[in-house]
Amino acid sequence: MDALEPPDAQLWPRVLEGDGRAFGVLFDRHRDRVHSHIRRLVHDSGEAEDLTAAAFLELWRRRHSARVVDESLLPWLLVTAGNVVSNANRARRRYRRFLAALPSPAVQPDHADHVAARLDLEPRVRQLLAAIADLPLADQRLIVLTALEGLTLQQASEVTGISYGAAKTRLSRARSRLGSVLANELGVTS
Amino acid sequence: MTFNEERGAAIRAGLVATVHPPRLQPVARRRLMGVALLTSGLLIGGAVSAAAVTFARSPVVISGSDMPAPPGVLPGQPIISMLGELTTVTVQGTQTIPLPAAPAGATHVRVSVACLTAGTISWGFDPAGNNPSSGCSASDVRVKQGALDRAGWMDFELVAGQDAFYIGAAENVSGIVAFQFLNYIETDLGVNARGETFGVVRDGRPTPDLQSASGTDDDGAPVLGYVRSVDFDAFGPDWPGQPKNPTEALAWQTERDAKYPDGWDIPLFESDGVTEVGSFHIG
Repeated sequence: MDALEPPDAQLWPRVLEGDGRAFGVLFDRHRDRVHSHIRRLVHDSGEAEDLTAAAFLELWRRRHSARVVDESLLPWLLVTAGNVVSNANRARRRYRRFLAALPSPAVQPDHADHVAARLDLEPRVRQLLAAIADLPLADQRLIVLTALEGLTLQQASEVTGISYGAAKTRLSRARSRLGSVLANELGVTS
Repeated sequence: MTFNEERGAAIRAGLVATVHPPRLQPVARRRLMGVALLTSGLLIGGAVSAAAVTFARSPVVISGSDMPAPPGVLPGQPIISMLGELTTVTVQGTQTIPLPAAPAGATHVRVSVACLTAGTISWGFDPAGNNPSSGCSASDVRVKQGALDRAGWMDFELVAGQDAFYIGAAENVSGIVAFQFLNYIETDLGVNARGETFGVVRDGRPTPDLQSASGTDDDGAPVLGYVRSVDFDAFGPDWPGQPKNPTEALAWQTERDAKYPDGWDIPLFESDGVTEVGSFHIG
């Protein structure tokens, strides 16, 4: 069905004029990519769905600063999804002491959570995520967008608001900080 | 790790319901936009009163001097009447058009420019080309071609001796230029019990202490009210004034963007400047 719908660049002006249906098409189109991006960063599947919804809500709330890159809103959504996760983490840290005093939630764990947890227990993956987390925020975004989400450096630089030259320098610096082994894990070759 | 479809459908429905058409911005920020009522009047091309809502049965007296704002008109908002017929000219490339003869009583001319092809057209009275511009992308053309009700428009004050109108465009770019003469009667700003002026911001007129704006109430519904000009003009919540030089501007901007990446809200009041009715988002 989506193949019949116009590209984001044409749908977006319609959304700005108040066309909710066009926004629905954007949600259908990008939901799974945004969700899987968030799923890498958040272990709880329900929370990942909430944060996916939040990322799309941000797209609407910040509609006047959203950027269409190469006819697509996906790059902007991915960056925003990353910010939404960071904000949620910050909020959680703020309330950690309070939450720690509460009894654990009595919910049935999701099978997908087990799978994700097992994947995350892979030492290499854990090491990799820890190494990325140590990078400056702008570098983290560039690495994640280019290596994990498959954006070109040009797209990643446009959507993060960093010039192409600076993005190239940052990515190269990030690569050397991650070290060659980890860089190979990510599929980032010099 | 896939999305729960039932939840996804609920989220989708919530998002679709969130989307709404653009709301009015303060007048200071929408110089090139206009009043829908006038645009439709312009299409008909008749001598329709702009204040048709309040003056449908009692014609506006053209006096040329300021008057208090009548009911239904925001203080400071001009009362605009259309005079004479709409004149349209098809243009292509750069050219100079003689301004049609202005009827008696005309103070302004509203110029609308609709595109016939993709491309940008600049239009105005400055022969050097320092003029507003409007245009259509290839995809815009499909819906906007020749549509004056979707065109960019602007009201120019008439100046004696200024009778040539300048169009700038690439050779293959064409459009329709429409001229509608108008009479503007300015209205006075209101003054509240605290001695503060309130009303609409307009170029070349005193800025009211409280300026008309459309914001949102606590439930997120659109609400009309007034924002304090000092709040609206402030560089940011923590910077009441404006930076004194480019270095300071850059420093403030960096700090502001980090602290308020999504902008900030300022209070929206009744014209009394005390009763808060909602907030207005900046940024």
